[in-house]
Amino acid sequence: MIAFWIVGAIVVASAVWTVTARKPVYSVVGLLINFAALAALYLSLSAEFLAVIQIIVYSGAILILFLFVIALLSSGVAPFAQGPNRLPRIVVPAVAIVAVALVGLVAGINGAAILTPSVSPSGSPLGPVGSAGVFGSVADFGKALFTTHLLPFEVTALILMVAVIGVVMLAGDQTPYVGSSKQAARVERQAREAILRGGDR
Amino acid sequence: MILNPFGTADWMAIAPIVALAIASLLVLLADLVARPAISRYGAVAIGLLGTAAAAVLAAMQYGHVYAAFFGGFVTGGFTTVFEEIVAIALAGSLALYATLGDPKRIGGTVALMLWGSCGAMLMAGAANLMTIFLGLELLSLALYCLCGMVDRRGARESALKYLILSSTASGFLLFGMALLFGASGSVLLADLARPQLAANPLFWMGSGLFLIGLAFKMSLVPFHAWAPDVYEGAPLPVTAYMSVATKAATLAVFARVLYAALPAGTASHVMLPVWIVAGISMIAGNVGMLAQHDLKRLLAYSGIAQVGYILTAMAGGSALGLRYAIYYLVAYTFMNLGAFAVATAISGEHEEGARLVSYAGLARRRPWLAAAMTFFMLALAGMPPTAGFLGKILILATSADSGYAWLGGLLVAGTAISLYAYAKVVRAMYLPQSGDHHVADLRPIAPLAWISVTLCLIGVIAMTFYPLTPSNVLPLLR
Amino acid sequence: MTGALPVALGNYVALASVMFFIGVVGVLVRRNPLVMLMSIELMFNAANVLFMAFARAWLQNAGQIFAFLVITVAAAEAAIGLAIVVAVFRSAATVDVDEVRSLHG
Repeated sequence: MIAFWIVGAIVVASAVWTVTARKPVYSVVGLLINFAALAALYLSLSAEFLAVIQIIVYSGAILILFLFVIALLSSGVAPFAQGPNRLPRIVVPAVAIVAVALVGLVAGINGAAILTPSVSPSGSPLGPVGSAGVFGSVADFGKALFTTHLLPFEVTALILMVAVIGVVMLAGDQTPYVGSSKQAARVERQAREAILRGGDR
Repeated sequence: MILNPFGTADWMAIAPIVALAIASLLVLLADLVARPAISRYGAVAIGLLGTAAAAVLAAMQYGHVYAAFFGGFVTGGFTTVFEEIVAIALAGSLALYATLGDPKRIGGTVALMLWGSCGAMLMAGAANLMTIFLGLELLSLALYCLCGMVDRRGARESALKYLILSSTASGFLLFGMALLFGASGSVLLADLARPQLAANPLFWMGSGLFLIGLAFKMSLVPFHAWAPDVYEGAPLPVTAYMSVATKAATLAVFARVLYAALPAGTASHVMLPVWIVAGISMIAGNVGMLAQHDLKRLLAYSGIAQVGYILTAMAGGSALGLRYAIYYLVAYTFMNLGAFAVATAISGEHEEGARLVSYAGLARRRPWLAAAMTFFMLALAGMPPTAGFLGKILILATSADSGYAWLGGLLVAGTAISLYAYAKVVRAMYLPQSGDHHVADLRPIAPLAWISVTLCLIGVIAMTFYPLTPSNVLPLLR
Repeated sequence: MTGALPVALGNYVALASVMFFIGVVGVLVRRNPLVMLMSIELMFNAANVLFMAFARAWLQNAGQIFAFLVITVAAAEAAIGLAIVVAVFRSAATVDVDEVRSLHG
């Protein structure tokens, strides 16, 4: 129980850091901490497989992708816009009101019975029900994925195809870099001048 | 050991989607193997063949209600109708790509369009939260790529804007779905209809967030700001596709939730915000049209209002209302695609047809195209000799019957406002003007553009004289 | 494995709501599209927390599978989003949604 509060505090703090950090790299680090804490949370909810997937896919693949793009773009002509950029005055009270409402709502929910009381999960016709002993195991998860939820699983194949083809067509074309070619020309000219001056630059 | 739990009926249920997926792979393969030989027409032809196959396979399921994949995908009249609408939108937009597409990228473009339609068709039959979410994301992801596929800066910026706003809406939708799952313990829409849920706070929060997500995708008024900008930035065929297929697929999900997945007695409370928002959309969309000088922006605002009309038909929750909503949606599909086909026909590399100034004096240069465009504008405005008029009369009748006369009143008011905006296009074509532009003057018009304009015209006229409304659209779930 | 959750279910709902809210504020307030994309990831993960907690509470692994699919979709979305950011950057040499003046509104 204490573990939940520690993990929860880390999750919230790192999420706030992600959103408020001045540089995108810090945001990525915040998100990394957030995802690691979430993986711990998933473990405590007996979702072992998902905890591992969270680390491998989110931390290992998605965040690295972000880092690559940040590295790629930061070497370009214009640096990123810095700081907490756009905060119209209307937003501040709106955020405060929503935050208060959210806390009130959650407090209300904590009091109310959340799970529909008269429906018992094991007795209702909800499809295959994981028994308590094996719930969350990789075997249980895989069996459900390839039987009950086969169709959604197959659709993810199409989604990944869209991502692959779309990214290749968006970013992989041979059109010259408009900004970067100018920069490249400038760098080249400076280098040439430096060489002509005697090479101390 | 695990036995294969799925039979032929399960696979036949998703056969239209599989046909589109196979066609997309064939397009990519042809593009890879025979790049110089395969022209724009080759890629588009393969895509059209796949679409035709999908349409036939979908039609075969019309009278056969079956819950495939443990309730993930339900076939039958309702699903078939929406699959056919998606197929029409896909065929119409692919035909436009044959005249406007970039030959270097045509393979990937057509493939993305086909995959997006897989997502839209999945949404048409989705009866489970997972299938809804994945279908929506498949459609949206393909559209983000298609919007950014052109080398214009505006297109890429609109793609970025679309991606960020639409993903945020997906986040709302997903959080709502998580809450609904928490309330019912199941991802099946059918399990959301259990009466015990009416007392559960999670159900109310979840359905609220879910509806916000859907309202964004349908571009209803507080969440509409993206539509004109994104439509303006995207290539013409993509705009045509988005304006029809996204709306149809989202409306299919909305209708299934409204008609089959709410606890008894809660529909009027859960959906009241949607009806209010639909009423505001009818006014605001039509008012927004008045100031536009770009055909895509004009049709974007028009679409905002048209969704309002369709929702008005559903407001009572009656079976007849659903049939009229489908009738109006099909008519809208034809007239909207027709308007985009005319715009494509007078466009060259720079999409001249998207700007209203290009229509000045069109009646003298292209009398038949101008006449067709006039007809589509009259139909969109809902003027008497067209399917748009008939659809609006039917919607008014059903809204009066079901106690939503105030929505009908807003529909009439919105229609009155919109007349001026549609008349602006017609006036530009017929009235002689001083600064007569000759941008798209006597460029030959591609035969496929002529064919699509003619087919849309036939579609609208046929809808007028044979007002078929599908009778077996219910039950939506089993 | 049987028995109640580590803490009451409402606490998970509260945690997820707060996380979701932070993500929404991030999208609304920040201009840098990379940070906006990260905020969207936060929103998706907040939903995943709910799915996990409810899956455990109901002992229904559908929630876990939903979360698995969400992770897949989020990966595809991040890839496409970053590709579009790179494409915009190439033609504009700046990545700042407010600098995008040709599309107002």
